Amino acid sequence: MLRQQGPSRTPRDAPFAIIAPGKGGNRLIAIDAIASRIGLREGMLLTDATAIEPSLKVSKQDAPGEASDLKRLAMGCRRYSPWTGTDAPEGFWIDITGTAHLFGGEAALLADLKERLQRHGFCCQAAAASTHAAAWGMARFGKSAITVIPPAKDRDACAPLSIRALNIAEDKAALLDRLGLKTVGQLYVISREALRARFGPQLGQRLDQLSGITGEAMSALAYEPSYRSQLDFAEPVTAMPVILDAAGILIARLTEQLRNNGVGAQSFTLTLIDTGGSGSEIVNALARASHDADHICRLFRDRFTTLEGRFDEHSGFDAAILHASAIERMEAIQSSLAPNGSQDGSASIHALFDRLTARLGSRAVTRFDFRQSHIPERASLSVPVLSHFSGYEKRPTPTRPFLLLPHPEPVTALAELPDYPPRRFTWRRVNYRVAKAEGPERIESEWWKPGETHSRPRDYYTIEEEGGRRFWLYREGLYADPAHPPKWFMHGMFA
Amino acid sequence: MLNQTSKRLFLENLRERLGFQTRVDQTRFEHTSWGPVDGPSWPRGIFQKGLHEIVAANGSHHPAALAFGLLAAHATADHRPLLVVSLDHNDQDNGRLYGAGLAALGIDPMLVFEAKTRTEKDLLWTVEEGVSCAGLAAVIAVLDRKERLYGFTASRRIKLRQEKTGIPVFLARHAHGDATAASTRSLIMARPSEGILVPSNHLPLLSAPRAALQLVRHLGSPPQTWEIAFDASNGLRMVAEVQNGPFAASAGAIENAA
Repeated sequence: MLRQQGPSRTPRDAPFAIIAPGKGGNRLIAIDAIASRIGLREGMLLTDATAIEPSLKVSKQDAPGEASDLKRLAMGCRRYSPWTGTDAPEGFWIDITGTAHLFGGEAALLADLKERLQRHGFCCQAAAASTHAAAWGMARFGKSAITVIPPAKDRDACAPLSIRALNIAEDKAALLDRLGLKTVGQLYVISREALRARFGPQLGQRLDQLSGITGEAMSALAYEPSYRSQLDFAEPVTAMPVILDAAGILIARLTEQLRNNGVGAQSFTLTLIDTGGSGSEIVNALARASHDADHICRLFRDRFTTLEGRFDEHSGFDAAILHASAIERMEAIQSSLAPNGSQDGSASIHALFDRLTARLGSRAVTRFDFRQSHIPERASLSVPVLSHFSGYEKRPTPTRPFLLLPHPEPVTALAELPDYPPRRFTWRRVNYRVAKAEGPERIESEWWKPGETHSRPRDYYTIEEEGGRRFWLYREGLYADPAHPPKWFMHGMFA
Repeated sequence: MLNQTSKRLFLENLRERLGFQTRVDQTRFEHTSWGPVDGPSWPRGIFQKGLHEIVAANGSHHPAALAFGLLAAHATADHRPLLVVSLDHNDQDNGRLYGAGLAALGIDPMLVFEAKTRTEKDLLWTVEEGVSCAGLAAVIAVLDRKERLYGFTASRRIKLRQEKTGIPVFLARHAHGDATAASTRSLIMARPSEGILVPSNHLPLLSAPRAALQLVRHLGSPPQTWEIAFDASNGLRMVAEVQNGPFAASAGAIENAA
């Protein structure tokens, strides 16, 4: 199972592949049917692939996203058994001991699983066996989409499989290939001592695990309790104070659960189910995990204040559900918003930002973030205070205004050639005479980015007009090109 | 054809949009005695707590007002965060705070957080919430258009909250307005800096930016005026030399300023 970064925009008639860094450069790690038909193969270098098919569309692999998706799939398979785990990077396992009969047997269970995965757009190959090693090998190297190995027949069923079905290191598999040992069955006749002496203990151990002679340690995904509380109303409720009281009861119950488990949550979602069966959600995201009932009540009260009047007075609500997510252990929480502040000060700042975002919106409260760019409007951005920031590296900063116009404004300027600062300019219909100036500071476009190849350079000037006000102007373009005369813009203001 | 009332409202709106100072403010600036700059008279500690209003000479001097608020707040921040609150109506008019520029002003951008509100009511609520947060160093609020709600009552509420935490508030206001419960009220306008003459340059180079700060209201002291400089290394500092003559010239410059 592989995931591409970003949304899919590839038309169906173009070959598509997902790439990841590998030996010698980017390699194709997954290809679609069109790419396969024209001769591309997994593991191929991207440069070779684009030489064969220049129209190949590619997307980078999103490994963290894949791991997360795989975990979610494995958790979703808990409908079959409480013991599930992942076989990264592309598979997962389910221990169906004692549960297969509930689904009509192993074959019916696997068929149901395959159908459910297909409905979500996944192709899969599944196998059931008495040992994990046998099921792993058969699922990946077997010929059928669904295989059920009868009890005690794992050794025989896996004999024709490739030696890579033993899940051994690739260098050992390549060595076995060179020695002519291509199938698992060929290894059965070689003594364990000989295998150990030549290939180390792992190969023999895998054979024993496949046969069921030795066990294999499996770690199932930890059960994550769901923090949820529900309140059903005896009759439809329309009054806001009653809904607020209900929310308070739910918050008290849920925060007690969180406290008892020593955890806090960073997101609380209140869902109000109306008489028609549809739900309205109110989500509060916190700067850091909390199980403080008063703080969370206050956040919801502030949100209700802004939402008042938006609920249909006639519909009424039948139930309220409060769900907590983004759970963290409370003792592991580090303060991050006030780097040098005390723990108490940091806690109060987090609480302040929670209240502000609850009332003003998550995008209304921001902090500064920095990017690797010398284009001024890209170098520094405002990001929501609750979002992750990339980090700020303190380094000597060139002269920059502390106020920047979101969109540079055209200016009429009079300047000496070739690149002297302007002597006079007009901005917003006001004329200014320049008394002092510094510059130019040339900032070229980021030509390596798509769409920027033909962008013109900017020459920035810091100027002080006769009254003492300071501005940051730039001239876009050079005088050397008469077909495209340069233009002047106002970009920022200094103190 | 506009009637008299519509015409008056139209012109008021236009002045507000273009940042023109009102006739009342111009009169006050002209007739106030500027006097000599006096180094020792800088009131130490005056801006460490309380509510401080800073009125720009007109809209084009707004950067000086905001910079003074930021630097005065930063001077006593001791690495604690600052909260800047402003209206979300139009960043294009006055510009948005720029992180790299704050760093060039000597302020750590990682310690500055912004809150944008849609209404003046939300802005005042945010200021009150900020003032109640013990972890903040200061709150800097910007009311860059005619206030409808801010006045004596709102300022009194802010001061009452401040008394518990001692967190100062710097409010950059659009114009003077009526009396409030503010601890101080200052007028500010940018001033020409000392140029650095370099023979090969057509124009002098820039030194630290300067502004004239007139403390028009402070309990127990008469109005005073200083010339101050903003310096990335030293923050806010007073310019030592006496500047009587240029001040008289600058009064005329305020009147003519656009």
